[in-house]
Amino acid sequence: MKNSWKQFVVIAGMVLAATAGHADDQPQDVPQATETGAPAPDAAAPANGADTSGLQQRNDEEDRLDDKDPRASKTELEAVHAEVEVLRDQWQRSLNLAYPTTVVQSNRPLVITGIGQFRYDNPFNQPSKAAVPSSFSTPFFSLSFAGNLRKDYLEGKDVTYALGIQTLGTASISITDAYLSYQILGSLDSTKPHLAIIAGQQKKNFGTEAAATEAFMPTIKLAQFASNLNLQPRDIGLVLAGDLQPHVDFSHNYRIPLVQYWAGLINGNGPNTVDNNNNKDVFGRIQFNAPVNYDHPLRGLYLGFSGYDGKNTVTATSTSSASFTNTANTTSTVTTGTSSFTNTGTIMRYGADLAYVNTPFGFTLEYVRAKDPTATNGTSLNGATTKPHSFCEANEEAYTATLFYNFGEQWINSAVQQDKYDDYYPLTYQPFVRFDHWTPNTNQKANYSNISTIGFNWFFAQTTKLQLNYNYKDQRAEATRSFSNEFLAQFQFGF
Amino acid sequence: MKIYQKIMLPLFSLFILLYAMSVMAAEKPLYIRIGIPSSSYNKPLASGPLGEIQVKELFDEEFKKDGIRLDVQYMQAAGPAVNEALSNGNLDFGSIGDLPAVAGYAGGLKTRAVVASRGGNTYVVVPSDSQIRSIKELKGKQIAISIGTYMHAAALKILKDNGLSENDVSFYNMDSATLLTAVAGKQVEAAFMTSDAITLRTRGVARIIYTTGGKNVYYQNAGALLVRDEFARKYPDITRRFVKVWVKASYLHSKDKLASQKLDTRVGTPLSTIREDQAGQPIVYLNSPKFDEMWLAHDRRSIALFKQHGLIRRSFDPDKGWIDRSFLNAALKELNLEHFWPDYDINGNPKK
Repeated sequence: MKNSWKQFVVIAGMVLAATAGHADDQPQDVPQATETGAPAPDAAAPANGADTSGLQQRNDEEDRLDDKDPRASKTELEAVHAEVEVLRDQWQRSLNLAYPTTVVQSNRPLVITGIGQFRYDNPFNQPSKAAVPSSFSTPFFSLSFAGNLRKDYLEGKDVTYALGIQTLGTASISITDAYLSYQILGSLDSTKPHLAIIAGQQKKNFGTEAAATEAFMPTIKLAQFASNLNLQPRDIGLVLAGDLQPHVDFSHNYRIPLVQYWAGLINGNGPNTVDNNNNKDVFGRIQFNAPVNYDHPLRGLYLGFSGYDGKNTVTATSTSSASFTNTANTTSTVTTGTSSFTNTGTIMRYGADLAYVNTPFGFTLEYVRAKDPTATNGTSLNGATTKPHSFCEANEEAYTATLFYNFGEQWINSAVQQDKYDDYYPLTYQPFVRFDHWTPNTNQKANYSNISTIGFNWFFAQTTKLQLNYNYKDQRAEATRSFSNEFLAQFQFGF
Repeated sequence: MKIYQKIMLPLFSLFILLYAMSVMAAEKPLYIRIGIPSSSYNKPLASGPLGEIQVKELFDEEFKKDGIRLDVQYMQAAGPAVNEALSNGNLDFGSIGDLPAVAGYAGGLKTRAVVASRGGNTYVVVPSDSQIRSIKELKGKQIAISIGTYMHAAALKILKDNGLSENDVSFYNMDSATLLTAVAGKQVEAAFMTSDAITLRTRGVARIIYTTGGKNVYYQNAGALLVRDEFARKYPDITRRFVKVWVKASYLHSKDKLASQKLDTRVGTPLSTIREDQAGQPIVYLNSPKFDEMWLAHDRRSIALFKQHGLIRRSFDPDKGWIDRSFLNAALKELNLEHFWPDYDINGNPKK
């Protein structure tokens, strides 16, 4: 009997001990009368070493609800529930209204953006009497639509689209971007390489300036090479865009790949038109970024090399004339016909660019060489050739350097993506200087155009800026050298 | 060359002048700018000590006479965004979790840790109809997380202690607001998140399969109030006074748990969620500003773990150069609070 009692005591003790040992497994919102500051055991402590098996002191006493604290009744909760349902129904009704409705709808996620420019251009000290007058203009207005057609939440192999339209000076409207993009390697894992294929009408990735979209161009007018070599206009084709060896700074969620690359197969005949020959143009760009943390002084430093190879068909004309002596004994010449001759030649562009885009200082340097087929028109008089038409090559050269100083929050995500009660206007000021050189034919060194620019960009809202540029032009064509000045002011707004 | 002499050289000189003006030392700042991760409810309000400072106007009490104003910035991209703003000189102080604070310093961000913080819990949730019941079942699953935040750090620890690693799951980086909708919309199979998990569970759209609440302090967040090193060097007295305001707020937030919890609801978190999240944890513990044995041990182990997982590229001892106790000690002494908060040992218990 004594042994039975002993066994009962031992079993009861074990049960009590076991119960005490699992006291902490109870739901946490059940108040426990533990003394303040007294440690309690933790059954879920990790078993990875004695120094980690420690327990956080518990104090359940202070978790007791204040009796004076009124609790919501079931009726009150139901009233709140009903109110939320009313709001939901009102929202749904506003969506369902066919017309008029205040909510724009789309079958797929859609972001609409736009850019508008209002410009004042005042050329002065011009050498010629046929000078360009000063003028107000609205050189560029665009609307862009972008979104995803297929959102891959697992790997980020998204299919996205972009469609844009623009006006350019005249009343005509043309298409800017019109492409589909597919993330081949997925875009969600920042530590792995990314690769996308983009099909349609899009920017050509050559250098820094030519590839910049309108919203990010520092100057009002493009560098000369970008427009003279047709690098800035969009083209139609396929582009592969990817990167390798990404460097990820988790402290800033900053990802910078060591290598970025673009490879494109395009018509080479510009936007909104079909090709004019059977040869497709190709371009490629490789960019080496400084693989450093966000906080590193070298963040934003990159070196890029670009190349473009294609064909272009040029046309030369030969104008035939005949001379005769009329009754007044004077000689007159009349055109009797015009013949056209075409030639398909090679166009080649290659360049290097070095840039440092950081805060507050930054710079971009670009050097480009190019080769283009050219055509010279011919003439004949009375059946005899006076000047034969000809085809040859022009070798062009250009370089541009831009130095800027930023102060403001325009491009800092943490400054823009904040919770605020009201609208927010990050202010940024960006003075800059630029030197832009262009040689249309390296065989004629006396031909060149130099434009020096002093500018100031004032971003007074997130997407809106006032740009002031003063251009000093030194241009020479053979023996004729001219100097002129130009003041430009442009208000560019975006939404 | 005349054009360069007339225009370019003066302009270059102007740049230099502008830069010089921007770095010229002022006697005192116009603002003290502090950044914190924003809440899931996107309300530009703070909880905790900073919430106490806002509600009780403690900052004005100290700095109004100097004409210095407080600028609080609520970063939607959480700790990494605070680091970004500190890097760019857009903030003077930042209050963030352990991983962003440590990773920032390890990566070269010149900060000093001046006040300790602790106590943030991490929850693992799954859609309510999911079959997943334990951490081990997360293997091979798609998991939403805010990369670079203290939850990322907690996830590594929780996975490791369950025999898994980051490579065994697929992490999808989302901010806190997107993360909530991703779970509710079943776009992911699980998520590591803050106490917002309790709200999701209350709505019936998610089930909590794991919480660090009431578990080992090692899993919790041991963050810090950081000051930009340049600011502390330039304005040591302003820094000391701001830390004093923070410590006073921590004291006021440590006095009455229920009152503090009610104050914390101003960011949008329901009181019931806060109470469940903090259940069992003394309010004095949750608001202790001290870099005690527990905080240091936790931080050192976290640094080793982050290094092992490649989240940081160099290891360091937080107590050698990063933690600056001078401002905190001065504040504790001035406020006569040197003994108000106990020093917690490595296990989270008050030292005798």
